[in-house]
Amino acid sequence: MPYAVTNGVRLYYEEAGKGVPIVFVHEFSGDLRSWEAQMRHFSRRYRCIAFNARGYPPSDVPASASKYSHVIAADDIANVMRRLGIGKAHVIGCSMGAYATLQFGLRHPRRALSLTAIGAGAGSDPGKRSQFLRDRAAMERRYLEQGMKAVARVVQHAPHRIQLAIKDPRGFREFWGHFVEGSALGHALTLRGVQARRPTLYSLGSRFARMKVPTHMVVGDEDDGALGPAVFVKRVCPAARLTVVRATGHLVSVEEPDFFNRITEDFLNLVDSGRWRPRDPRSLNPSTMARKA
Amino acid sequence: MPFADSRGVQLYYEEAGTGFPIVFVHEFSHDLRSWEPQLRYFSRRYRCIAFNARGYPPSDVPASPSQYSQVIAADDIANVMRDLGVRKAHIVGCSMGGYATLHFGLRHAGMARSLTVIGAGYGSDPDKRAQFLRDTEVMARRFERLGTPEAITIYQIGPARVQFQNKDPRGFREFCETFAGHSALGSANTLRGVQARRPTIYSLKRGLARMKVPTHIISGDEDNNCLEPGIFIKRVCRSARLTVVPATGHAVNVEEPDYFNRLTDEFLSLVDSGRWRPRQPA
Repeated sequence: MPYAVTNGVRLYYEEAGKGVPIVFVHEFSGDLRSWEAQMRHFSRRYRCIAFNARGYPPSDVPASASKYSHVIAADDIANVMRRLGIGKAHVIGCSMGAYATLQFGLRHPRRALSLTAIGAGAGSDPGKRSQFLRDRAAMERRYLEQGMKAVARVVQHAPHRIQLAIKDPRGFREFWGHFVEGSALGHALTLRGVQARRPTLYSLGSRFARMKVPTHMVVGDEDDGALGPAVFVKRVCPAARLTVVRATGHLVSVEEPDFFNRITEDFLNLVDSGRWRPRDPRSLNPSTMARKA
Repeated sequence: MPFADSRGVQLYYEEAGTGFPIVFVHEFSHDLRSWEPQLRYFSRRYRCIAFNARGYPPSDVPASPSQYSQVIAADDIANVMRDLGVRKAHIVGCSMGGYATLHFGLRHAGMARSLTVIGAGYGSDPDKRAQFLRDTEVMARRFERLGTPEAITIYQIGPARVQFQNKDPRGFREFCETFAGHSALGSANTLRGVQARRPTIYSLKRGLARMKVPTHIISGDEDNNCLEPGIFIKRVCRSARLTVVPATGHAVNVEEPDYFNRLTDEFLSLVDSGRWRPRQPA
């Protein structure tokens, strides 16, 4: 099995195709298998790399929460790239992986050709921040005391996940079938080290305003925790564009793989062709109707 | 030329194709010609009807602003349908036409199989409400004093139009030319009768919460005045879905016709197949 070693931690990865590299960064409840539809599509023209985060076997599961953080997660992307001899890549992440992708863009902008961030920002809403942190703590205990299957029963019908169950019962069964194979310890430590400690997207406004990496924010219209943060990043970051996907929950790439692949291909084509450009400052004129005369 | 009668006001329309009907409702700075890519595409499977609002020749241009309002605009859609013998249709509207489409769904739910609402929301932001009303009156006066070609020079490169200018200069030129041909009186009356008096999206909350017509809200991600109203509708109306289109301004159907047709085809097919369903309650 292929591993990339990052600061002594072994991260399992898979590769497909040749060309400009794309690195896929999975979400908290998934692993690299959630990117199967993307690996098959994009490997026709790109070198696709997907890896399991620390805490997700066959990657190592470090036993201390101090080995998990949003900064470590972003640097893990950079280290996987380094081990594979990749200077620059398109980076595509979902949820927790989308947060890591955005952090990667802030910390390693010269190594990113573009960023695609799906459903980033859960826990950012200031009105629900303390509830988010309490829920995280309760969930962490549930992982450790009851195990993966018990957690799956609770979270798979969450308000932003029910959409997959309704639309695609086969995909839903596969996704949660993979989930229960994961490490309860890895998930609990990830919750404690990453989710509970990462800064909210709203607190990163001034850094996003300066970031120049072409960025595509993608979010489901029923992903209530991520919709506001996605609009926020679009507004503060001139390099960001936003797609909201209709009748869709949290995992846009899993729930709507064809649509996601199409819009992502449009975006990558634009960047690869050299014709991508940031937002026109004239579009920020605060007028309600016309340019001020 | 074919006209439909709406209580004595003659509205010019065009038709293409046969099948279940779609009615297209244009925005303030366009007329039915803005639906050309949709008429060509959807007429393969649908009976497509596009009409010019009152105030937009060859439709009549009533002389008094009192003959223009949001309710009248929604009822004009119903009257065009009645005149053409259409009982039920998919309604697709942009901006001002998106507002009319939404009000049609609230007033004539039994006549709508679905609603597609593009870029509706101008004038809804409570913090900018007073500014919007001032800007509306300034524009109305410009139409009266300067005539359309001169009046619109500041409007056509507004903050949610420059995206179109950057992406598709040929399409943008055509937009400016057709806009310049509009009636100055009709445009001024529309601004004073419709835009300045219509209720904000936020004030429609109760009606939207009860509305059951399958609805697709579409907004450009750089259409600052419509993005939040679009999210608001999605959140309060269980029958609404929302698409936000990247790097795009106000008139999504004009700016991104292929993408818009694809999205809309998919939505209409879902509704026509009987498999559409509202949002799952919490």
